[in-house]
Amino acid sequence: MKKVQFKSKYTQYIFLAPTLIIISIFLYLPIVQTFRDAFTTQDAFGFGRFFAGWDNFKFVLSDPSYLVALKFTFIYIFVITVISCSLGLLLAVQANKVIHGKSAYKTLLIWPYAIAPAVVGVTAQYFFSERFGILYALFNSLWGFDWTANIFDAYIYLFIAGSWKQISANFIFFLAGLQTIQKSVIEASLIDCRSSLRRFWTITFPLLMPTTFFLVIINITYGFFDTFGIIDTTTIGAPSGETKTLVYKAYIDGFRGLDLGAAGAQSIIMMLLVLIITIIQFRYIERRIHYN
Amino acid sequence: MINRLTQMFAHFILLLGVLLMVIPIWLAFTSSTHDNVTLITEGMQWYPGPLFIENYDEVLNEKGGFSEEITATGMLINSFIMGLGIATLKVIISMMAAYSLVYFRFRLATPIFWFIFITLLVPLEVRIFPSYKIVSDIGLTNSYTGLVLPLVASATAVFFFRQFYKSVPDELLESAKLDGANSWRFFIDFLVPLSKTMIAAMFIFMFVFGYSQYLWPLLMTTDEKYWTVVMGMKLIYVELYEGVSLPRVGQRFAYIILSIIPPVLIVVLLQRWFIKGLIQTEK
Amino acid sequence: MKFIRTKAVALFLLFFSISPSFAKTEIHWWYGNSGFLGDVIIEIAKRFNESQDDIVVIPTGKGSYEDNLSATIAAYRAGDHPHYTQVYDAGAAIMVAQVKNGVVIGFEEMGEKYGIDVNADNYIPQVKNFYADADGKMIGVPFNSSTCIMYANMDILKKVGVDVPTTYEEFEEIAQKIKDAGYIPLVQSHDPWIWTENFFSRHNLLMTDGNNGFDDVPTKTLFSETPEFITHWTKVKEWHDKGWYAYKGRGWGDNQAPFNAGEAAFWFGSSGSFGGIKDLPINFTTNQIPYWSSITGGKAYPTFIGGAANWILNGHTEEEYAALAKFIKFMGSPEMDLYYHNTTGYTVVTKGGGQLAETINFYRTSPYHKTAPEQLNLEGATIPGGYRAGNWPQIREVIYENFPKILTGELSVEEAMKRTDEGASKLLAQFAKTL
Repeated sequence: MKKVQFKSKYTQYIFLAPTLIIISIFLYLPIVQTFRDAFTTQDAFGFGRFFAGWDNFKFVLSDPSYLVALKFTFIYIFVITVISCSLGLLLAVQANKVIHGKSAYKTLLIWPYAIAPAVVGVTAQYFFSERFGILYALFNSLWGFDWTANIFDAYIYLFIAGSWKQISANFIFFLAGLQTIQKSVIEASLIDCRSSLRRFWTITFPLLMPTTFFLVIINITYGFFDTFGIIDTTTIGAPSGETKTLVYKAYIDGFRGLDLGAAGAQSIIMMLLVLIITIIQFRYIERRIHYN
Repeated sequence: MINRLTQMFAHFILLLGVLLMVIPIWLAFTSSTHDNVTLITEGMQWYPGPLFIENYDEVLNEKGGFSEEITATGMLINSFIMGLGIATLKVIISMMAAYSLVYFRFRLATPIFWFIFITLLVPLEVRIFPSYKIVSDIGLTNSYTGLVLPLVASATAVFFFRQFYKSVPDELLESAKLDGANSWRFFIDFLVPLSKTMIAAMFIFMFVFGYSQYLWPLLMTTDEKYWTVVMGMKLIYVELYEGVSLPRVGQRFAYIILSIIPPVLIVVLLQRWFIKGLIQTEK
Repeated sequence: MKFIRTKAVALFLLFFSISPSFAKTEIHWWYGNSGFLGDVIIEIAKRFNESQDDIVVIPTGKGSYEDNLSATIAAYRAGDHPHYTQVYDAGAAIMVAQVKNGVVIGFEEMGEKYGIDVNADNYIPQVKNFYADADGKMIGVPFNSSTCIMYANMDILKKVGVDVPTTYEEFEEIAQKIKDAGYIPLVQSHDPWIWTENFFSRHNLLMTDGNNGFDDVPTKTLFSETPEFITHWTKVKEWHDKGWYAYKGRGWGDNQAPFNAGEAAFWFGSSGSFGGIKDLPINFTTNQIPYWSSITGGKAYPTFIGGAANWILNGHTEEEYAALAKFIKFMGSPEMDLYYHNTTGYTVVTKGGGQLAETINFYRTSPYHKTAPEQLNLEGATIPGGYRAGNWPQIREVIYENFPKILTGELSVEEAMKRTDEGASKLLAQFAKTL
C-alpha cells in the first residue's frame, strides 16, 4: 500500500460508485439468481418450482457426459496454452533479435489478436468443411482425416482453431516482457555466455518467468471461456459430445436444454474451478508486487 | 558469421510465423473475390478473382432482414459502437475505482477490493439467463446501453490500473500535495496524464473484447437495428449447418473479411501504445 | 410506464434507449427457420401486412428451431416475449404443459376468447392431434408440417439400372451396385428424428412407455428394449462399414450436401426441404421412406408429423390478440396454405387447403408434393403417432452423444441404446418433477 494516501469521508466512494453500482446490478444480482436456480427444480418457463437440495449437483456429477466435458476442457486448455505460449515465445524472441524489419514483423504478427473467436470459428468451419476445406482436403489425404467421426481429428480441428489467434496474444505479451529486460543485463550476459541458446535459457527465460506465469493464466481463462465462440461455430461437440467445454455444456444444458437447475449447478461448479485458478493468479500478482 | 546465421534463422522463423498468421486470412480474402460456382466446385481460391467490387458492394449494401434496413455497414457500425462503448466506460470507471482503492485510506478498502475481485469468477456465458432477465427488467433490451453495460461489469481493468498505480512512485503524490492539489486535481492533473499509455493499452484490450462479443448480442437484440457483425457469424454458421442449396460462399468470405477490419485497424495503428502500456503493467 | 422507466434509466446510464411508437398494432412473430424457409416466412408476413392497414406483423428469425425455443423462453422469463412463436415437434410437450401455467394460450381457447372463428376441425387430423392436449383440445397452431421422406437421384438410378426401393430389404439389394458405380448410396440428415422417432412410428412400435406419453407421463424410452430397433441400427452400422451409408456428422446440411451435389443416390430429409432444392440441376423424385418389411410383415405404417407449429404466448393486450387472430386466420386460409405447401414442400395443414389443391388439380402438376401427405395418411397404425415427452431437446442431445459411436465402433448397438435409455430416463424424471 502507498505510504501517502488521501483521507476523506466520502470522496473514495464517489470514485468507486460507478463500478460498484454496475457490478451489483449486472453481476451480483445474476449470481444470486444462479445460486437460487442451482438449488431449485423448475420447468423451462420457471414454473413448478420447488427446493431441490443438492439434487441438481448430483444430477450433473452423475452425468457421464459432464465428466467427458471436464476432461476435454482440461485437455483443451493445456494444449492451447502449450502451443500458443511456445510459438508466441519463439516468435517474440526472434522478433526481439532481428535488426532489420522488426516493426514489419511485429505488425504482421500482432493483428490476428484482434479477431473475434466466433469469426475464427466460422472461418475455420470453411477450412475444415468437406466441401471447401483446404485443411480438410490436406489432412484427409494424409491420414483420412474426418472430424465428424474421429475424436482425435475433432481435437486437431479445435486445437488449430483455438490456438491460432492466441499465438498472437502471447507474442505481444512476450515481446513486451522481453523489452523490459534491461539492455545492461543482456550486454553483461553477452560477455559471460557466448552460446545464444544457453544465454536464453539461463538469463532471459528466468527473467521472463513473471510474463510466462501471467500468460499461462491469460491462456487458461481464454481456453475456459473465450473458446465458447469457437466451439459454437465449429464442432458443437462433434463427433458425439466429446468436444464440449464446460462453459459450452452449461450453455447447451441451460440455454438449449432449458434446465436452469442443472445449468445453475454447473455454473457454481465452474465458479469453484475458476476460483481456484484466480486464487493462484491473485497470489502470484500480489507476490510480484512485493518484488517491486 | 555466427551473428549472420542467427539473423537468418530469426528471419526464417519470423517468416514462417507471418505465413501462419497471414495465409488463412489471405485465402479468405482471395476466396471472397470469386463467384460461388467456382468456390463450390473448386473449393477455396489462392489468387484474387474478378468479383472484388461486386461481392463487397453486395455485402456492404444489400439490405437484409425483415425490415430490409439492416446492412453489413450498419452491423459494423453497431459493433464499433459496442466496442467503443465498452472500452470507454470500462477504462473510465476502472481508473476511478483503482484510484480510490490505491490512493485512499479507508477501512472498507479491502472488503470492496474483494467484492470487485470475486466478479472475475463469473463470465457472462455462465450468468447469461439471469443477466438477460435483469437487463430486460430495467427495460434495456434492444438498446446500446443494454449491449454495453453488462459487459462493463468486470474486474480485469480495475486490476490492471490498480497494479499500475501501485508502481507509481510515492513522491508524485507528495509533491502534488505540496502544490496543494486535492484528490480530484491529483487524479486529473497528475495521474491521468501519467497513465496515458496504460489507458491506450486498456482501451485496445477492451475494444477487442467488446467488439468480439458473440452470445450476448445474439440473445439481447430482437430488433434488427442493433445487430452486430460478430453475431452475424451465428447466422452464417446456421446456414452452413442447416444447409442451403446454393450457399453464397464468396459473399460470406467478404463478410468475414469486413468484420475483422475495424479491430485489426485499431490494434495495428495503436500497437506502439499497446506494447508500451503492457510494459508498464509488467512493472 | 415502461417507456418512462426505460428513458429514466437510460438517461442515467449515459446512453439513450428509445422505444419506438407506432400507430399500427404490432405483432411480433419469432421463428426458427433459416435460409430459404426464413425468406418464405418473411414473405408471408409481408403479404399479410400489405393486405390490410391496421396491423403489422414483424417476424424475427432467431436461428435454428432450438435457438428460437431458447430465445422464446429466455424472453418469456424476462417478460419480453413475442406474441407468436414457432416451436418445433421436440418442444411440443414443453409448450402444451405450459397452458396450465398461463404461458401459452391454447388455439381453441383463443378462438373462443376473442370471438373470432378459429375452427380447430378445419385442420387435418394428424396435425391437429400432435399439437393438442390430452383432451384433444388444440393448443399449437399448425404451421410448417412435414415428415421425413426419401429423395432419390433418378440420374444415378438410371445409370446404375435400378429402381427406387420401397423397403430396406430392397435397398440392400441395390446398394452395392450404386456404390460400385462410384456413388454414395445413402445419406440421411437427422438421427433422432428420422432414424429414431419416425423409425418407431413407421414400424408401428412404441417409443416410450405411457403409450408414447399420450396416456401417461413417460418415464423411459424403449430403445434397448426394442429388438427391431437394435436390428435396424446393427444394419445401419453394417451399411456404414460397407460404404452403403455415409455419415457426415450431425449437421443437417453436411449430410444433404452430397445429394445436392449429385454424389449420393438417396437422401432422407424433410418434405419441407423440397423448396430449397427444387431448382438444383439434379433430376430427383420424392418417395416414401423405406421400412423393414420383415418387421411389419410387408405393411407400411405412417410416419408422424414433424416440423413446427406456432404458439400463442400470454401477457399481451386484447387488442393485440384480436390482431393476431386476424393473422392466424389469414395464414389458415386455403390460398396461403396451398401457397406455402407449393413453395416449400411442407404439407397442407388445413382441410380447406387440401380441398383447394383437389379443385385446381394441384398434384397433377406437382406430383412431388403428394409423397408426404400420402405417407402421413397411411392407415392401420395401432400406436399414437408422434410422442408427448418432455425435455426432448435434451434427449435428442443424448442420442447424438451415443448413436454416432455405433458407427465408429466405439460402442456396441446394445450398449449405445442402453446408455441412451439411461440418459433419457433421467431427463424424463427431471421433467415429470416439474409438472
